[in-house]
Amino acid sequence: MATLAKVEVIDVPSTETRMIIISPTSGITPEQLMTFASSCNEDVFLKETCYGLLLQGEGDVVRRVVRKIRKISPYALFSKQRGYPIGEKKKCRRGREGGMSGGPRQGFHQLEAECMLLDDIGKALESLEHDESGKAVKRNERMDEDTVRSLVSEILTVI
Amino acid sequence: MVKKIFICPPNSLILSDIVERLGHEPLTMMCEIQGRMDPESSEDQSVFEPRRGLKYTPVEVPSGVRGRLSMIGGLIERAEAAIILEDTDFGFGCGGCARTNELIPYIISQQGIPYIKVQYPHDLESTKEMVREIKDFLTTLEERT
Repeated sequence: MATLAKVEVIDVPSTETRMIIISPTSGITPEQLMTFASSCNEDVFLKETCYGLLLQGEGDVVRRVVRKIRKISPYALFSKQRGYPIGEKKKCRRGREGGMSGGPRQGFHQLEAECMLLDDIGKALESLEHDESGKAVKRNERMDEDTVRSLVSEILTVI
Repeated sequence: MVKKIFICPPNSLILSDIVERLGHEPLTMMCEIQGRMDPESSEDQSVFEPRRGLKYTPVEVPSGVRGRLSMIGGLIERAEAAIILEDTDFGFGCGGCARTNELIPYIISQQGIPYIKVQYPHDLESTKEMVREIKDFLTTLEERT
């Protein structure tokens, strides 16, 4: 029976792992991101994934690289922190019992659901940037006490 | 001034990204896991501590809810404001538990911090409205606190 290579956990103090997620219609590929991030010459671990990129390193360095990467396309690249480091034994499918089985990693379905919205979110952020005067329409605005009183009295007089 | 914003669902990419773009610090489940995780431990559930959840729920509440709230409750306590995404699709978020999802807005309201409830977007117009509402809320946060 073939044995899997030992998965090494990268344990760096004050380490932070971040995910970069590409909007599906952006036309940017994870490979492009990987090439760009590698060219930044920063001390971070990188992993190319199907949805984008994983970065791991010291918090400040990682955030600096994320800012640089975002400049490629500010409204098509989204980022969030990741709880577990790259190759974490308990979460990485490669190291779980049963080899490559076990279904997708926890959190993947949430990521998949949110990926569908990224295109619209990008457009909304872009339109907001260009239309600073736009104010949100207030939903379910509460009526003040006097209006409620007058409405009630009106209804009572009708009855 | 940078404020700590709790987001609900606590693992949401969209909310976390928007909060960061607007210059604040999102308090997410990922931060909490990263802070608590022991790389040496072989226990998968080592991050949950149901006993700490007793601070937010009665003892008869199932341990699953208490375990979840032991992580989420701490985030809400540290938060200076909160954003809640409502009417989400089935299975959206990391709670995976209807009771926990009901308790989170309640605990937020008990904390007395400013919070906003936004609707889950289904098209471009509702997405624009959601982003605008969040932006308005975060830009006027100084006045609210």
